[in-house]
Amino acid sequence: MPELINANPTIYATSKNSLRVITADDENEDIEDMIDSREVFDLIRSISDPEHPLTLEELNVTQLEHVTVDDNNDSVVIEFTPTIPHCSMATLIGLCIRVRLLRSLPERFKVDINVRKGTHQSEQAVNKQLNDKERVAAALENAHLLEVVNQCLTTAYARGTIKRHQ
Amino acid sequence: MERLVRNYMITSNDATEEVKAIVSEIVYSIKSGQSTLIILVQILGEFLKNEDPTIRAKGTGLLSAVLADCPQEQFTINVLVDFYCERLSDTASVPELLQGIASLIQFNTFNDENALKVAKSIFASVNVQSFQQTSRHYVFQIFDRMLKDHLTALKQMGQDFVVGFIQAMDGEKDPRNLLLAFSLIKLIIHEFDISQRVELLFEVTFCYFPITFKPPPDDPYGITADDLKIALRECLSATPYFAEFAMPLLLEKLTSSSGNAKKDSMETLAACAPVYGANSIVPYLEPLWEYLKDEIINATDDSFENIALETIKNIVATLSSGIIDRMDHLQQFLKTIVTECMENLKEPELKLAKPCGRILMYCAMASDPSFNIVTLATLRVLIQQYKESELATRKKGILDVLRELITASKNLYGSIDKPSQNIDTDFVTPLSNYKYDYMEIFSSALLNQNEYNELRLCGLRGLYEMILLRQFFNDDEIGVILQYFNRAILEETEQEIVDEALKFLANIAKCKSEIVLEVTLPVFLDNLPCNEDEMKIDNIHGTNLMKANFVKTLDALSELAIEPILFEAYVPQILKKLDFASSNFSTAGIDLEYSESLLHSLHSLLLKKTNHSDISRYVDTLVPHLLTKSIGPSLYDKPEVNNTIQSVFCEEKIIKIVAGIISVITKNLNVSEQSIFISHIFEIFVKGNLNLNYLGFSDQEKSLFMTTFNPLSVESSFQQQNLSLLFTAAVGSCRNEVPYPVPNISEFLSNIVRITLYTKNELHQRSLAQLAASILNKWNQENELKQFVETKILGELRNHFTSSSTENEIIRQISLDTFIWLTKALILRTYPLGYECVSQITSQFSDPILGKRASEGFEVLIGESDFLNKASFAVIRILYKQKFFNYCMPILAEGFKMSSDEVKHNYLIALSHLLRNIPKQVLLSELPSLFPLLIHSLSLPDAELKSSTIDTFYIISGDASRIISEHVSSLVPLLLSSTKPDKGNTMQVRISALQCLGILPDHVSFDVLFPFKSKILRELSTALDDKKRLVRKQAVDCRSKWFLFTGPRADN
Repeated sequence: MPELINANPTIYATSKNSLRVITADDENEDIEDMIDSREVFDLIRSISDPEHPLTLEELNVTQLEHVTVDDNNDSVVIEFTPTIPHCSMATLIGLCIRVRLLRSLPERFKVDINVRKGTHQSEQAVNKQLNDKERVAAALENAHLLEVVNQCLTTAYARGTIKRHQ
Repeated sequence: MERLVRNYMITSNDATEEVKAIVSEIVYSIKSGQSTLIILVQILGEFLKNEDPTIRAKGTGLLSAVLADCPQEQFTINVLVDFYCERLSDTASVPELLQGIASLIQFNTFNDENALKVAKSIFASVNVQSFQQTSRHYVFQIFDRMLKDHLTALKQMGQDFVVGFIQAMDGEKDPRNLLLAFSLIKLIIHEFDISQRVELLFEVTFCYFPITFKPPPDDPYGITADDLKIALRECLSATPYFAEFAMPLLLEKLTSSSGNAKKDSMETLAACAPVYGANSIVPYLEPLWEYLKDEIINATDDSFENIALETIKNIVATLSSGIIDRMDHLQQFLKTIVTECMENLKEPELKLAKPCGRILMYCAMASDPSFNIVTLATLRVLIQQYKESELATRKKGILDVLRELITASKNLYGSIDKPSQNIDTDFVTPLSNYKYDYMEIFSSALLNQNEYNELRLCGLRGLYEMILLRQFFNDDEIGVILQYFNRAILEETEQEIVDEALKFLANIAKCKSEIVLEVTLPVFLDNLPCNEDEMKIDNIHGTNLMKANFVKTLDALSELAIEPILFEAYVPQILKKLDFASSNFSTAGIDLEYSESLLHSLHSLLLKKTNHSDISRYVDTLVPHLLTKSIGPSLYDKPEVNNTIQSVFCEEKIIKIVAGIISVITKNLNVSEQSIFISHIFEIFVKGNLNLNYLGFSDQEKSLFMTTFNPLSVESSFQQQNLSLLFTAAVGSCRNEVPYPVPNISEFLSNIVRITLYTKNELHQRSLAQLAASILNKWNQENELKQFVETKILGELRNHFTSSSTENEIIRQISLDTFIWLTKALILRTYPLGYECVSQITSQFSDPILGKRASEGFEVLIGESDFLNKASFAVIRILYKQKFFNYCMPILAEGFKMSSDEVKHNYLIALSHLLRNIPKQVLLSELPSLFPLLIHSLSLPDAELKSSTIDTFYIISGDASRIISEHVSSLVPLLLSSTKPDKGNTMQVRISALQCLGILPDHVSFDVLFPFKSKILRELSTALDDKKRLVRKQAVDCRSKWFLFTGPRADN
């Protein structure tokens, strides 16, 4: 097995952000539900980490508080926290989030994905790469990379419902 | 005979029919005494001695084939055995000879001596592996049979047999033969002295490890890789002699790069360790631990982790068994493990803590000594570490490990909720030594309300798990913990904690009912308001709080008071509160909600008590109480005239719950109890007799009655009529042996049917229609039944809705409704005239007034209902749904074709109700003819029809992928347009359509679907922006499924 970048990361319990409860309003045909930060967080929380069989939420890479959504102005801003400041997986994780949202959000949204300030040594380079449309498109031309991204996204449907043995 | 033999000899080799005919003719002539086996052998003689080997073989084949069918008394076995054995050296005839021997060994007269002879001859003359599979299979079958029937004799051969068999199987490759051979090896290991031949035996067996067999695609033998793995594992673990050879090889395979080999090696090690014994394992402990640890810590797959843990457990268990001096190895091994785990547990919030905790758990639960060693080496440290720690995630990490040891204790020393487990009750869990620390730590984790939720949950779970440990807490200690649970349920704001505490408490109520009765039940019952002061509310906020409180308390009680002693204490208290709530009916409505919740709790508890015998006694207490409460208010006045005296028991929803309670209690009575109860019920509801002792109205109450009780009558008040629900609930829940106390059922039934037509009260009408249906369904007088159906149902009742000129619309509609219910009663028992009734219903589809109603009636006809079901003792014949379907399908398909668009719709509605309620297999068989109808349904703007049709597609997609594939090009566009927020596309339709689109990639092949992929991805973007969140969620899942649908990977 190849050496892992971070072999023994801290694991966080996911229950404080447990599942979104379906309300009567949600089931009422006539009420319009806005897209909110919770909904977007639900989209990305259960993406798998490329290194561990754990979700981004369990590793505290994504947090509800770091997702900002303005439905009226078509804007989404995501900040994520790499597990360690020299994590070379940061771009890949960002790319997974980017692809997940490309596939899941209406096209009208402008999505910004950034490393949380001060949590990564090449913060700016990573940010630049993640928010450059052409570079993202070029990265996805790479069949191997796309395969890895798709692999990480296979668990995304769970929206926090993956519970490991207690 | 001679002619037959000669005919046989000139048949060609593939003329099997001809050969069969000849053989059976020969067998017949031997059986009938016309000829004998000896004569056959004599005639065959010249062929058996022929120089041409194929002729010799063919001759032998005839003899063997005849033997297979021949009665045994016709020949002397010894002669034949000798004959066959001697000839075995004739290689060309061996296949036919083996076939013959396989027949010979079946005979009762085949004795030990024969067996010895056969075995020796086969070993001496037959080079087994040079023959075809079928012949080899005969060999293994022969040995299988002989080892079962003549074991003692064969054992005389000793070594020779072992060696002979080894030679016979050496090189075998066919899975069928191997499966048999493995089982024989196991038997040989157990029964023969193999000590001289261990290595040989081992080599011939282990060479198959690891099994890499993959069954051929059509799997003609039904043998799986797992069958072979298990059979081989049983050989390898059959004797400690194998240890010295197996251990190094197994260890080597452990490091294999193939997942399959690793897994198999671990499982084999786990099986072998206890057999091989401590001495054989000790030399390998270090590499074993290194390897298994790696497998657990870096596991990407739960199944690998579990197998590795299980293997460690078996190794530890093996080291623990045996004499004291071996304990050193146990000590030593566990020391290595514990030291490493504890090193990782210094920072228990990190990822490695979890696997280390699990390793400790598996080591501990291997044996009593290992449990002692592990707890002694870890618990002090962990407890200390917990007490010194401030970090919540760290504390939680430690609690997780402590809980692993609780689980280990439960597995090794037993738990109170599963007392039957195979557990040595002489031992007491060493955790007892740490009981107070454990209790303190877990309690404080739960009780600290400002703490991290996950930590508090951990505390809660730990306490619960400890209560379940055998011989751990005494009743007083459990009582203290239950108080924490009470508080958690009643006062806690974190829903997750409330839910878990309740779930745990409910389980404890099953095994520790007395403590729950004493500690929990009074607290919960006291929490329900019972007098005006407690109910006094001054503002809306207070109302909401009060409501939330009783709802929560009653929900909890509905989970807890299931056991008889708890339920017994609960019922009178609930009735007391109900009396208070119902006597205090105010306009605020809180009394109504309170009463409803109380009754609802009662009802749901009764439903949960399905296996309890105590229910029946409540027919004499609870039921009359509720009847009195319900009937009284209907007699005081006519409420539609004067609203002053009202009662919660005048409310429809309250009456419905009471009906539910009466129904479930009635169902739990036996025939004689039901007969008595039903006679009371008829006395009250039919005769209006309220003086019955059973009811117990006081004289004072009776003096207030302003009117008589006549709930079935058309003239009575709506309020009284509503009480017919209670009558239906009781009568409709009776066993069909129970006699109704009326002189003439036919008359009684006609009367009920007549009332349904003329009552103005819809509830009354429906309730009595169901009553009539139930009585009709259970009616066991064939003649009367037939007459009733012919004259009353197909006669009078039918005339009401068919003769449109004379009747007004309302009567037509109501009579159709009643007719539908009665038809249902007949269909359930597959009564032939019932189908005639069905065709009367479908013939109304084209009627402008009744069409829709008739088609919706299919839901009643074939759907579930409250009273006409198994639990209510309805007469239900098997396959009634199929019969109904088979009758209706042609009518619906034909009617659909022939009718106008408007009327087509009604056919489709009936069809959708039908499809929703029939078994999937029935549906699949008719699918080709249904498909056009289903597709048509999707193009109509009827939301319910649409969503039900889409659900049908969803359900069948797995089993009917071929038909779906054929129609993909019409189906996909219709589904896509159903995802758009257009008219007729309700949320439910949009969600169903997205679900259905999302499941297609699972069942339809890539090349069929690929042409639609980009269109689907494009069009789904609308649904991503749907105004409803639930639809968006489904759209995301569906779209992501299609993105990930990339066809077979190129590298596979």
